[in-house]
Amino acid sequence: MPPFSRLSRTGTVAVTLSAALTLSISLTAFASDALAQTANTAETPAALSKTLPGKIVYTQLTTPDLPKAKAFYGALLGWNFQDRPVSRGHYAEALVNGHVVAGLVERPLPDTNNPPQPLWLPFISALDVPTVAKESLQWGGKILYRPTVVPGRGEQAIIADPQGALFAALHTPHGDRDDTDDTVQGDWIWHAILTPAPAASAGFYQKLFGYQVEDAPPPDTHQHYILDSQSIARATVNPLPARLPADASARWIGFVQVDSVGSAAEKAVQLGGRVLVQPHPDHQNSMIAVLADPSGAVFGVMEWHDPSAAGDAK
Amino acid sequence: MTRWTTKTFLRLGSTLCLLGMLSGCGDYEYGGPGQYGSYYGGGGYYSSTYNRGWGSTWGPGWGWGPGYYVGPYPGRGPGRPPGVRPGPRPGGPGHGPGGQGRPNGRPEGAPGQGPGGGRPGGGQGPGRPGGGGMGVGNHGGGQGGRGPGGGHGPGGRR
Repeated sequence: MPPFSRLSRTGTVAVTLSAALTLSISLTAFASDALAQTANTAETPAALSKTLPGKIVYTQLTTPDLPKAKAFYGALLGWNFQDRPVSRGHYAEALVNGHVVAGLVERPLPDTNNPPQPLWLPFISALDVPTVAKESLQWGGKILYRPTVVPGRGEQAIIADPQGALFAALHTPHGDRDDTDDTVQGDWIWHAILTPAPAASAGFYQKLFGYQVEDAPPPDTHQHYILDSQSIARATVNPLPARLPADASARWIGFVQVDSVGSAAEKAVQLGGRVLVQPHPDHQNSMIAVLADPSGAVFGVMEWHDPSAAGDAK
Repeated sequence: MTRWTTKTFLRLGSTLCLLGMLSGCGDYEYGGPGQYGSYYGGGGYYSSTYNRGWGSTWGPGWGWGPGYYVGPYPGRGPGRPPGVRPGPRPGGPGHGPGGQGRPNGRPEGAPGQGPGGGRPGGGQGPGRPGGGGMGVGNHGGGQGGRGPGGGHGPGGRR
């Protein structure tokens, strides 16, 4: 993933005016494009492909303490970090084997009685972000961050789906990482959305990203779906666990591949995190656990075995 | 005399937005330079409405544990290794009609919620539109949202 460029003062003014008056959209695009062209690229061109709509291509953590987050994820998942200049706050990219696997943005928590929770945000690849944003409104979503060209990354919008789960739509002009790349330890391997209305959620994402939606096979015969794009499974849609409060909102959870879920869970605690869901088996002889980093951001870890080597799957 | 600074424009734009005099302001809760971030990628917290967690009740206490699965299914990824990826296969017609929206007590006649409860279609063909969520409470029908329509068929394994 390419880096971000610090905006020049001129660029900042141009963008600010356009936001305030909605008059200079073309100027903003011009300025952003110009900046994007000057950005270095961290990804090698060979690793990229065309746009793969529906693929979850990036994840971003918003955290109040970037150094602490770096220490935690670096030690737990073997991530290396690369600081990126941004106009406000601090931003770092996390790399595994030279690939950018995540972005970490530092933002102080607002001083309120009910502060929001730091979170990981999945970025779903899209051919046309403004169209996705428009359709999300049509189907009951809310746009939290309007389609914007982020220099060096592409155009993105941040959206809340009708059940309250947050995600981003992203179109990067450089294309997405090809699916032929093997997943490696420390990279995201799976995503799941847990939602109070699985069918509606599946329909929403299908509408926005053109997913093929399948009923999950037994034993998950009811209200579990698989989201496919490019004939590859990208995520599962799942009902909320049974005893979650009825008014709980939906949320996406991403899973990082690790050697040992048990060891990762232990280490997370040693590093100041928490184990929210204890290690346990999931489909295909995989093991998963759900963890929280020291700031409370939730993510999963998954121990993935080659099904052909592991025998029959669940 | 007014000094036209960036802040001046921002205040003017915000005021006009509040007064409803500019288009394009209303659909966004946040976004745009000067508010929640821009050139660090939109990173923000987006209020506790969305960034709330599930409280301290995580875990087996609310039913996530053995028997509750979210991971990849056999032959369904994470897209690897090659050879187990599903290939495209024509499916049957989509099954469209959706379930009823949850009664939420909206005033009579209010629009239903968008995608409704329709099950995602099973076929590649243009399935019937999903039923709109009823979207209203006991007072009956608002205008149902359009459903997601026919889906795509389940892929076969290569």
